[in-house]
Amino acid sequence: MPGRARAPPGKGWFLRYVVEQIILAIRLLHYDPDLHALTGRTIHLAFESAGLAVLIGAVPAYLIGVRTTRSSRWALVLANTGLGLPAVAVGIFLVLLTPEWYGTFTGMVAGQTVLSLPVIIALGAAAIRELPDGLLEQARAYGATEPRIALLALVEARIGVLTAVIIALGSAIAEVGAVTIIGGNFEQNTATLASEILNDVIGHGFVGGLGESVVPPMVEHALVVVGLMLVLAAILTIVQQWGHLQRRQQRRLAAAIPFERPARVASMEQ
Amino acid sequence: MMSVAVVGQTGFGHIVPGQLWGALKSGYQTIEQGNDQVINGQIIDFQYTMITTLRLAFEATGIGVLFGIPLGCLLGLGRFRGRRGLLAVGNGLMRVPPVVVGVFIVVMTGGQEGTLGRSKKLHSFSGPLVHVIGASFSTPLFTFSVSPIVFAQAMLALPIILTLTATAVQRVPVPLLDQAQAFGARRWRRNLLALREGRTAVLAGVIVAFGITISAVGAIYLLGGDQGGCAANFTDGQSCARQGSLSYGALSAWNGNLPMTPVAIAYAELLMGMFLVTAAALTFLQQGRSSWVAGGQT
Repeated sequence: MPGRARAPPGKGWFLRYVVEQIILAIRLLHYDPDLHALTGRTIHLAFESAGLAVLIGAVPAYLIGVRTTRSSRWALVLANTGLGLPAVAVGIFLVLLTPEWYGTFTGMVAGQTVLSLPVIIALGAAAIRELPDGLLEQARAYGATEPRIALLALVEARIGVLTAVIIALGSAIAEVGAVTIIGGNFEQNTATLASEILNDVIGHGFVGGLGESVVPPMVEHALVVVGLMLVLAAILTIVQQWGHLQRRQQRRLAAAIPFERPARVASMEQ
Repeated sequence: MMSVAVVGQTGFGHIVPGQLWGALKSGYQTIEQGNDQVINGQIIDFQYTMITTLRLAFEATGIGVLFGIPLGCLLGLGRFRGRRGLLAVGNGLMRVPPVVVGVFIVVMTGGQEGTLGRSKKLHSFSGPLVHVIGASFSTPLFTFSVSPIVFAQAMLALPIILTLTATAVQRVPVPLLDQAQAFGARRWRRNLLALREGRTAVLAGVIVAFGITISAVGAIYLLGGDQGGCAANFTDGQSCARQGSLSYGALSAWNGNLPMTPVAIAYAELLMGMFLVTAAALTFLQQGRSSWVAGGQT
């Protein structure tokens, strides 16, 4: 009934409404036949695209992080700006560029890789830049070859690099623009959890509004997405705390040793 | 002249540069033909859409800055229990999925003519959320159209700005701040100094937030309301944020068949162009003139 609002039900109706929706969604979790496939595909997409982005972006990240030339600074600014690349536009341009990838999982992975590449490069380079001065020079002085130095830099900056990887994974799980465009929203083959939420809306259309039958599936899929993101956030927090602990331990160690000693030799010997 | 929508018609498996160029050109032509075209019963008004997209992004980022920078300062420099925990929560919320924000607001407002039937439209808040916080968003403070869409985008922008401000402020060397305090700076002056010193990183956070609010589509898609109502609103001259977002336009202008519609290409081109222009402007602002010569920082 447009234009006429019903009188609000009795006390506590709002909380009851929200809890009702969530309970309906949790019940749906049990009955949804596609949920396993959707979740599996989402995780697959996230890991594949993040892995590809790491493979492609590790070397640029290292080079940008190590060099202090003007061009490398500009590349870092560029990568930072690329963090906000519009996903929908990326999807459309990718479909225009390679029509044969349309509607395939490969295309979705490619789109997500393009989107998470700036994350890996920008955050990885920033992590490498924050390494203590002289660490890499020291390794070079000890005669390490360039690949060994790169490996050392990545290992030493592992907290920042892992953060970048986890953020890339999260963006692949959450992203909806590129996946919807490239995947073409074929429910069987190329829907992820996030794009399935859009499908829930499109499937019913807006004609009757977002009514009772549309909201629970949306909430259900949103719950799974939130669960995945929470797992990622937990891993991220553990990784970062681990880094804090390590640094504190190193500081204690350095304070306990009476003579002067290069701070990072211990970790290089491993 | 290139034909309008040929990409993919002549066959899969070939990348033909001419086709790509033709597709891009067809998008450009659609832009050039200008406003008030009716395509698939949808009024296309690129100018309006661009302005609304910018307004949406500015309003959402503005709300994020308004609340995020003071709160970020508080979290970064304050000393109170649970500060670490709050920072961790902010970190976790930083990449909250836009669709989840959309679903959250749909549930909170009872959906469009939702289960409780309270809200006629999602263009203005009138759902359970309003009853809970006890005030309508159309009070004088919020007369500049805080639609649920702006609210959703602000929810995306706020944690990013907050967390990056907190980390930026934490990185400012403590002796500097202590020195300022020794010279008699009050607490808020000290915080202001920390903000000034960490402005590059703070602005980086604002840039990321702006990029996300300008391009994220998940929340807008769920909150935009129906096409018919949108068209009606449009002719009434009222704002219709669903049509007003370029990324929504790009997503909806395409019907899912492979020859990409020129309108979708046009939207994608405008979106990319707008992103590039605003990102360049903000980066210029961030780097400043003096450091412009010296190059970027971190």
